[in-house]
Amino acid sequence: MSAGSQGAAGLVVEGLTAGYGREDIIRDLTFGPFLEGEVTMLVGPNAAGKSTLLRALAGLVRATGSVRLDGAELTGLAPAKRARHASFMPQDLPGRVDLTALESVLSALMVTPDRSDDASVIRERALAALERLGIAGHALEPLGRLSGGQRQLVGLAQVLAREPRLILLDEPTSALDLRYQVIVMRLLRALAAEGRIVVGVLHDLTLAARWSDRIVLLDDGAIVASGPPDQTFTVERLRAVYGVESRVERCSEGTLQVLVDDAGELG
Amino acid sequence: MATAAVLAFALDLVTGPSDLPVWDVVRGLFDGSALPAAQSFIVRDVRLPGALTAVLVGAALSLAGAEMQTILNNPLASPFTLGVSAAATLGAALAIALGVSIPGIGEAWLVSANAFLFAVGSVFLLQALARLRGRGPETLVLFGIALVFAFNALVGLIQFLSSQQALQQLVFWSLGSLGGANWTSVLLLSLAVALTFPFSYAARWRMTALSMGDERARSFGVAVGRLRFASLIRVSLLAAVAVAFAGTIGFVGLVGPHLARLIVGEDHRFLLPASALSGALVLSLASTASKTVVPGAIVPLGIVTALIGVPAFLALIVGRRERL
Ligand SMILES: Nc1ncnc2c1ncn2[C@@H]1O[C@H](COP(=O)(O)OP(=O)(O)OP(=O)(O)O)[C@@H](O)[C@H]1O
Ligand SMILES: [Mg+2]
Repeated sequence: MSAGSQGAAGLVVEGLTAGYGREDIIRDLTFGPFLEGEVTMLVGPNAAGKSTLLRALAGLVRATGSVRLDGAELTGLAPAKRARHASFMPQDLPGRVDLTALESVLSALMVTPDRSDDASVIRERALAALERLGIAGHALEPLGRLSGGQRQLVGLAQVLAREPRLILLDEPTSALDLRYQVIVMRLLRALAAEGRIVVGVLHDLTLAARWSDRIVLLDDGAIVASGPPDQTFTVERLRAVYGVESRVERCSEGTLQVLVDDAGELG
Repeated sequence: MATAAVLAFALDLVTGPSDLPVWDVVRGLFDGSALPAAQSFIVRDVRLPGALTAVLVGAALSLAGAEMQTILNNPLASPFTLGVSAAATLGAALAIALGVSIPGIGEAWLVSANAFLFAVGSVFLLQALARLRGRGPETLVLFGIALVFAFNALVGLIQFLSSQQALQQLVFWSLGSLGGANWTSVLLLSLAVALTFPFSYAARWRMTALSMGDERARSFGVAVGRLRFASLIRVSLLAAVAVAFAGTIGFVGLVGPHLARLIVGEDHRFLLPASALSGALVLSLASTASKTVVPGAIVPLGIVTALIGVPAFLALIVGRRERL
């Protein structure tokens, strides 16, 4: 892909420290390479620093260290340039703004006018993205009149339409029903298969185990474990990190299930 | 909306204290020798610049208001939210009451020039303050409010110290008036609008993205801080010029963008031009009304704008398709 043959392909992160104001939230993280075709999910308790890590990869928070994509350093790139390589979907749903779904996706494409494509081509791309998420039928409805889940799908369409190499999704299924959770996870697999690198955050560990190649378990700004789902999710780790009593089992079909029996006491 | 704005402009043109027949106005406009000199002067050098100024001031304030509401992510924002008008009033007060003057600027332009300089100065002050802390909209609003209070206090002090006559002049100025409109003000206003609109329009997609929130806009690659700063400069230029020539006509900058938004939505491709048009429409109507509601007198424009704008605004809110 882009130049710089030194270093591995894919996403490689070294010594990444990031935070807000003077406070560091994630400290000295090193991981990778995450390769194209791979889906990686960050999991961990609330306030572990998952969103902060995604923001740091997208270049939206104060950060030091190295974030390389296909050998090219992303740190220090101007926002418009960086957003061309990596697109981030925030955890918050798109607001109830008086924009149609289509307009909102168009604006995601048009803010960094890197392509000389004419208006109709860009419109096609935006519509295709909505189509892929099954909400093309709502393209002309204002965001303010869509349901929470529909707005989350629009948020996904905004990222999809930008066709980035690195896709960063903060809790992409948090507002979705059973069926759409699977539809979106399947879509992430398809996007990876098309040659993208997908990194996301999920709270549903069973969903994460079923659809990801790699799990990164974060706690208090540090990586506790990282690897294939069945090696990362252990009863002991989940107890240590989340403070829950759980079972990690395989169902009759052989897929991994994380079942929580007890959440302990607060405080 | 463009049609409505043109009609309102025409209406504004044919009304005035001198009760010229409509036909005379039309003839006077197109043929300088058709009317007696005095009437021709009224049409060409009073009515026409007055009506054009109404259009331009309305467009400028409403456009500025639309940008302000977006960059502050606040539907209650107006071009005057962050102290631009308070600063302009302070500048005008200094000029009117104390005769504080800028070297090289003639007597006639003193008030306008002073108002303008103070307005622009306030934006840089605001930016300097905001840079000390984070640059989110909340910080800007808080500093802006602090500036408003500071400027208002200084204006109060000047009022307290100034003569009866200066005080009256200042109050009249701050109520808003197109009485001082002439071809020079039309020219300068057009320049300000012509200078800023292309930049506003060039930022239309980034502004639309910003309306979805800072983080989302930034994730698309929008340099949000820079976008805000550039927009604030445009807003202050527009607001400062408008205030300099027409006083503080606050309401149009709040209601114009809302009228536009109710009709075209938040997509700034449409919102920015529609706001300019709706502002022009509101102020033309207000100007017409200011000349007609009290026979023989011209009611200050700022008052009429609010009186006209509020019912129109309420009608639209009640009439719109339900949301939320
Ligand atoms: N904008 C911010 N400014 C200051 N501190 C922040 C900000 N956002 C998050 N933090 C802090 O950073 C820490 C990690 O937050 P982060 O949002 O990354 O957690 P998370 O793992 O995504 O949690 P969740 O699962 O609840 O989304 C928290 O202690 C939080 O208080
Ligand atoms: Mg989070």
